[in-house]
Amino acid sequence: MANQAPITMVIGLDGATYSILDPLMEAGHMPYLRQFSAEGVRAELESTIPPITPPAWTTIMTGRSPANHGILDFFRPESPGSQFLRFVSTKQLQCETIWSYLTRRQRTAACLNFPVMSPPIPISGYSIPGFVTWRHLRHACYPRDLMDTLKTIPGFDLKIIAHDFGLEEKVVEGCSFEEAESWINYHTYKDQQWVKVLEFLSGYDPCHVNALVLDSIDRLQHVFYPLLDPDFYGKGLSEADKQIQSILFSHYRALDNMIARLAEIAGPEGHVFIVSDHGFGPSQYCFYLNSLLEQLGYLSWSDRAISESESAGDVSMEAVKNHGHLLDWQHTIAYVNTPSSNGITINVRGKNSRYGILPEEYDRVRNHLRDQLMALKHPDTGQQVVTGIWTREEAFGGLETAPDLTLRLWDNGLVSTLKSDEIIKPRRECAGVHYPDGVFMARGPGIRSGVRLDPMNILDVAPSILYSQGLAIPEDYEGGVPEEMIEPEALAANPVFRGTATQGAQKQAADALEMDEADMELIMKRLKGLGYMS
Amino acid sequence: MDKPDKTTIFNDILATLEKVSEDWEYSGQITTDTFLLEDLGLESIDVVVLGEFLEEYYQQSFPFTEYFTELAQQEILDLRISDLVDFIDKHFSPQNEVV
Repeated sequence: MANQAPITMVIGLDGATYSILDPLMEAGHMPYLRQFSAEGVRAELESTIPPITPPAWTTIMTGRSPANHGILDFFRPESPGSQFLRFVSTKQLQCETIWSYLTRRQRTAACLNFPVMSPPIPISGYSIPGFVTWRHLRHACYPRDLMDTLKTIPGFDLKIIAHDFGLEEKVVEGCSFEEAESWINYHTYKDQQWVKVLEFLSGYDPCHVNALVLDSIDRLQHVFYPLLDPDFYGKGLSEADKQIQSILFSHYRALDNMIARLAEIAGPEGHVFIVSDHGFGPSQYCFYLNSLLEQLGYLSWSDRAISESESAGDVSMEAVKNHGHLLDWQHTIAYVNTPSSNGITINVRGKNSRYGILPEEYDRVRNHLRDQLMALKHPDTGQQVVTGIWTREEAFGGLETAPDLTLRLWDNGLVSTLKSDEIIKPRRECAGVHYPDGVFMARGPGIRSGVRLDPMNILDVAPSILYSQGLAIPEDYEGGVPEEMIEPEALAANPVFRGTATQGAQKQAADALEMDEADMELIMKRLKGLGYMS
Repeated sequence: MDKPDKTTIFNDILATLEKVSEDWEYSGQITTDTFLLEDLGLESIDVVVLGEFLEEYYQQSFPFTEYFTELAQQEILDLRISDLVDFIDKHFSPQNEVV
């Protein structure tokens, strides 16, 4: 890697896993990725606890663990102690993003489709967040007039790049044969539109760091996992499934072309990183944890709660956010608030609830519940159901907003919060769920070729991006640059070095408020003067 | 901020809608009887985000999710601008935490 700042391209493939990508590469569906993998380095990338999109991508863009950046889930309580939930936003972000850090280091960045980037934080560059509906996307972007600029792109489709909560519900609801083709094609088109945005920006106002999350892999693997994993489809497929599989393979070929185009934008002097926020694997059962807690005497349903079969298994985002009314709070000690957290919250009187246990009972109750969960056996296989449990202190440094216990299940699945007569039930169809191990690949000048690295942690991504820009790694970053990724001569010429810590979120917010248009103009002039902008 | 009267709240909501609705496909006049979902074409998530813009404006938090959940429980699937005015009027308090 050179001293001069080259272009860094970060291609985020939400949910990408080698267990799917490798067979696709071997079968010739992703020839570019195969070449990329052969010419660069690759490693498994261990995700956050839990391995879900908001905390994991936030770790990638802050270099900090969820205990420090404060994003633990898709949701947060509406107010402290409330059972009602809202989506997380930059207001809960406790750490400086890499985009802000780059701004302070006279670098520009384009960050596209990252979650937890709304409301926008001003940076030197461009920000379009993920998980925002089209009606609000304009005001979630930075700079404020970015949407008007993008509308000059021929064929640009604002609605496609926005998050369509209705369409995305199929991730949890499933997708019929009739819907499958249009739903897969929707994701192909959406990814292509995002690539088009980055192509446009790279010509309009090139940035030093370009980062784009393409989220189709996650969505498609949730629904169609058995059609993508040879361990499943190798046992034979129906004609209908073969048709869907063929469309899926076409999507991955299109995705391969998009990756090639993004790498092309970085150019031969640029560094390209391909990363995922978590991996994927199969899950054939549903685990109804709130129903287990009821059986164990920790939870009481309200009269409004109906069983999973009666509710048709409504696991939509709306149902998740509104599930607070399903519990009899006066008689509930412990409960799961969101399926995505895999976390149990214990009601402590006077702390987070008007009801619940006394504060002095907390340790005893939590330890007892932990033991009960670890003793649970699968009714069909006899294997241990809960294979890992972390306390709030172990997983999140004691963060008050974190669950008291966070679980890892035998199949890496997420729990259900719904009421059910059975604690563990087979799914109607095998689904894809988040596994902890994602992917990391890198290629570019100074990066070794054809090397499989030891498994990395997701905390190592942000330092690697900064290193590619010749920058110091902030001393409060919890990961590091995997030095075995770098050619020895390149490493000797450009050693990894640590620098001052990042600024806290409060300072970042204050800077954002103070950065008016006049300030931005000054920054732009300064960057141009330094030769960073054309 | 002093507690605004209902007319002011209505005007504040109109101003907020005007600010955020540039890309929306609604050109009719908005009155207190306008439905947020049926008339403006919003989805429930959009209403929550609209609520967050109002929180930003008033510099205080409102229990929007709790309110929408209660409406859903009563099988009320849409709300008028006037309902939103009443809700803000009811919950507006200088003591509420600044967001």
